[in-house]
Amino acid sequence: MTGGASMSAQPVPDLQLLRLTKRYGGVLAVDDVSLDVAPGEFVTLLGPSGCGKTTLLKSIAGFLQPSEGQVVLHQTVINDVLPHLRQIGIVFQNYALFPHMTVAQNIGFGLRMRGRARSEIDRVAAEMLELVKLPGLGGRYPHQLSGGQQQRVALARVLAVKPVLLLLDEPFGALDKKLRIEMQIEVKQLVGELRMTTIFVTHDQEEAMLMSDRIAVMRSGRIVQFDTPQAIYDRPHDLFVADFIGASNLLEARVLDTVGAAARVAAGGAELQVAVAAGPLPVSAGETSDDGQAVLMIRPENLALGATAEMDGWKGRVTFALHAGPTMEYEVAVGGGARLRVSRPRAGGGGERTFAIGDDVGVSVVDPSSCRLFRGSRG
Amino acid sequence: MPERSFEDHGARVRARLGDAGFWIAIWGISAIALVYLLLPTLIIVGASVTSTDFIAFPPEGLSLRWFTKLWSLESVRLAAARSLGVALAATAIAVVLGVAAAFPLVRGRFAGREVLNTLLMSPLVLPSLVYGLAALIFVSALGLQLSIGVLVLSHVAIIVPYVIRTTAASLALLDPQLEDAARSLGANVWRTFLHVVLPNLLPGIVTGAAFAFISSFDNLTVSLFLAGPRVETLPIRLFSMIEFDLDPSVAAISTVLVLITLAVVIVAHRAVGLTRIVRL
Repeated sequence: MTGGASMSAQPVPDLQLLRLTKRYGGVLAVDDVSLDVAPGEFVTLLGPSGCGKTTLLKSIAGFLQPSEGQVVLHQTVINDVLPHLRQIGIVFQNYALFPHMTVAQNIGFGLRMRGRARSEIDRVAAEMLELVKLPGLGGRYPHQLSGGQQQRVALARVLAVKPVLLLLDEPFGALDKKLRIEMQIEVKQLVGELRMTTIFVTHDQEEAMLMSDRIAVMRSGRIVQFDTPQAIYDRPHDLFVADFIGASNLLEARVLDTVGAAARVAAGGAELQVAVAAGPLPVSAGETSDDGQAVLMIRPENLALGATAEMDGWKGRVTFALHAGPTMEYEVAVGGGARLRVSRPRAGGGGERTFAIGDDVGVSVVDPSSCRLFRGSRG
Repeated sequence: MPERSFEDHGARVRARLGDAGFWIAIWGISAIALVYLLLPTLIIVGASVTSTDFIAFPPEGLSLRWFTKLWSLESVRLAAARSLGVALAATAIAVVLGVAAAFPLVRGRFAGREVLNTLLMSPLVLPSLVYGLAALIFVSALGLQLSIGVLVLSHVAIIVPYVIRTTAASLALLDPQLEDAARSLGANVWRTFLHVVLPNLLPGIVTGAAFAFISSFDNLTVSLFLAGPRVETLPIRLFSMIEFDLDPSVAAISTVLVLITLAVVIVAHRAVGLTRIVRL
């Protein structure tokens, strides 16, 4: 599954979006978006509904004409190329299988439209069914298949025409959670083996983290951050990304002073040192003292609990304790009305102590350099 | 202490009777409606097999002599063939126009779509007598001679709404992403329509065509205005026979009309039914 991790160093991208803009009347659906996708790369467009990710996908597929900007596929501007000539395959959320055709006819449709011989179509259909692990189901109709099977057929139908680019439009949305994870892994493996350049659209950040080589986080028609899942998780570019990706504690904070790469901040009734040098947005003491506003982001797994006397950070009381399988999830009320979410592994080896609701605890930051400081306020 | 109705046996029995009364009423009323709708038709079919020289119900003796007599009448044979031809031609034209018209009415985004929708339904709403007269005036204003062609076109105008209605209903249910999928797989708009859209609209089109065919086949009012003096359709023939020589052959023609209508409905139902099985 080494598909193509971070290939941004590759010289020639498969797909380029150059300053793409799409307006509906006066409404900007996509606002000046540029994006490079390297050969074999798995790129995800991630964002809440209405962020423009689907509009972007439709512009790439050719179902929508961008108002401005260019779609460049293999170094050719394809703005004026009709969708059926683009060689771009799409898997839709509801699969869009042709209900009046058998599975084999669905898979063979693309080749039939290309005027291939009957024998070739049959052979490829059988091959594709083998590839998506549905051998022998060619004679069924889509309504006779389960959701997961329909999904595989939709994928087989697209792969049969050997597309130069694969678009996945929220393809897992209709599946239940267990099947969804299975299909995510399977699809990721499959496109990895085929070295298929893939653009994946989703609003589910876990799904995006799991599958992508790079994620473009979108908001209000713009790409806010475009980076590897790890970088986006560890170094979110702004408050929106910090809030949208993963769970985080976002605390109102005040910067007391900055010394070189470190800042001393007050948040939730405690003072702590955090590193700001690596962050995208070092906040200087002078800058924030105007309104005193900053937001401190700490991931729940970057907090540790202990007896009040042992810990050097916040003092508080456990208001919530939940067994979540591999972890314990806590909520701790600390000073200034703030509540901290803390996530601790439950692995037996470490023998980490568990706490119950009502326990008085101390909370400290495990790795201060992993905290991030953002300008502005939470509102 | 709160009142709990399920502890009272009498109340339970009364509730059960009340519910049963509801179902008895529903089934009773629909049975009455069914008899009311079907009985006149059954009477005419019954009367057509009488062996008497006059219309009798219940029939006295069983005989197909009136059907034989019908077949021997050239005017009836001609009228039947003409009606069949007109209905087939009008239906064919109506299907082409209706299917095409359904697209902008369902998929289109333009001002006045609703108005247009209502307008296209107007032949269903307007009294057909009025339409017949209007069409006659229109045709003579254009200086056209009344002919089979004019008759067919006037039928098209009154039956095309059926095709639009049923096709639009099918189209509204069709997932537009099917078309996107077909296009991304290499089908141009024509082939997308032919291979993906049309097969999925077939149930709606067949249903609409059946209604259209029947409406044309047994149309009297519009034909009376536009058929011209020498051109008789089957309903016109039937009408003048009722006027001039009322004998059981009138009942026999009616029976033939009923049977043809029934045949069309059954054929359409089979066709649509089969398509349904494939779809669901």
